[in-house]
Amino acid sequence: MKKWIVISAAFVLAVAALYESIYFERLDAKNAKEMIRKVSPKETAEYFWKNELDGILETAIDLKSFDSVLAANPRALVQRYGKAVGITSNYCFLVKGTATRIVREAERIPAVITNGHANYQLVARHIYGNTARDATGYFDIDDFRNTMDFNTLATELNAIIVKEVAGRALNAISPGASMHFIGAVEINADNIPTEIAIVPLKLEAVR
Amino acid sequence: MKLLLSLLLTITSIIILSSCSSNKTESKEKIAVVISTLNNPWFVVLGDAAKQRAEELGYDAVIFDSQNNPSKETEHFDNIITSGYKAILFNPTDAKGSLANVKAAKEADIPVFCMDREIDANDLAISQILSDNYSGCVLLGQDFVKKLSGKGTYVELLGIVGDNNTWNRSRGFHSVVDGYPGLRMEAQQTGEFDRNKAMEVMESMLQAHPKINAVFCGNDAMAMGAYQAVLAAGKAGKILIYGFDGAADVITAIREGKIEATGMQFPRTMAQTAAEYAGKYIQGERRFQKKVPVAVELVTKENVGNYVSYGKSK
Repeated sequence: MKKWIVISAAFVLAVAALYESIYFERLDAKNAKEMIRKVSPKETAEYFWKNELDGILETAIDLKSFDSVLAANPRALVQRYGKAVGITSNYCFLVKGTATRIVREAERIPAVITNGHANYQLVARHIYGNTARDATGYFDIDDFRNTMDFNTLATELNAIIVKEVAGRALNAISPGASMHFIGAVEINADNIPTEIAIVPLKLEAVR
Repeated sequence: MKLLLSLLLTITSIIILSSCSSNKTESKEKIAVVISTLNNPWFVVLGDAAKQRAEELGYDAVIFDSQNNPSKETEHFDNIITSGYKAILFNPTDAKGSLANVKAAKEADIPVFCMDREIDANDLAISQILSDNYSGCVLLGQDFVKKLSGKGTYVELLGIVGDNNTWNRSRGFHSVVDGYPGLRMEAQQTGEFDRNKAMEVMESMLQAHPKINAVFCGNDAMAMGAYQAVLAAGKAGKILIYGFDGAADVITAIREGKIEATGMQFPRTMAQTAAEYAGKYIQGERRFQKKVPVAVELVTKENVGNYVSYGKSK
């Protein structure tokens, strides 16, 4: 009996040691990592935009739910949905909702949310920073040759958003019309803002 | 009774002897802290914080000053490798030039944890804990655009050209500012992260471009050098000066309205994290994130009360 206990314990320890020394990853994830190492940040951004983004956008939280949990329990929101890179109090999220375009030339477009705790606005021009990159949760800094490539990826992704979403998609929406959006937001967990910018990743006219 | 007494004596002797022998062999394991230069208070804070945390974790820690000299850094690594150190907390002199040293340490099975400055390889250091320079300079760029209302001319003082931090800062800043055609950069030169060099370069820039509205500097030492040049030219208060680091003199200068803003880095967080990772590695942990960015915060006159040099006020 004792022998079996010893053998079982040894087996468990061996499995634990093996688990610590190797781990498995999905082949498509492995291929994506290898691709990132081989191609430029611009090509990575383009590949991601065409092939990976749509699936990720399905995880976006409804803006109204986001707003109410943000007001009631921001820590819970961060823990459940927040994405961050490194040591930071800034967390990124994907949100979805509706907004109304008021005038053609505008820096920001207000998102429609009744009795919201914060004011939300879609950024229509001048998109910068890492919000879009980090909110997707797709990229791992360790897959990049250096931090410059990781940051350049954010710049390239922002350039695509300016062209494809804030430019092409937004131009198709007339002033006065409403649109569905999915976008990225960044929140400092230590200092919850009342004005929150949404970087649009997808816009569609409400039909 | 006699037997019991002799047994007791024997046990006591064994306990005493074993405690003596353990005292002899219980010398602490050593961690080396290699810093690019101790001629800049930022790096002094980085080195001291790393040493302190390593000592708190029960290690002997020794600081080595590379004096911004890659050859000196190599000498330190040669010494460290032959002296039984268990880990190296490393602030490199050069992203590419320091690679050979980290490789030598790796071949000697001594783990290296980079602090603040990056080396250009993913597979040599166990982990690299770095300021998120790019995002910090995106924040500075946004403030720059807002204060200048998107219009005006400016110059830029870059850091050391071979340091990735120099370019991450510059690119973060330009990722914002270049989107505003009303803002024009008149000149861009290196001040090598050095106050005196920056002052000289800024003096020449002011002669060539006397009407600039602002200067963006890749660190606080250069921002102070630029301020001296601006002051000497009688333009204090007319040219907005931006820095990066969170040094004591710049925090004071922001409070006094001499400098517009800086990006606050957290060298203590980076150093303490590196020391803790080294401790975990020595204890047997092997899974570490290869790159760990540490957030940078914008410090302006509006929020300077929340900060002290290289950190937040308590």
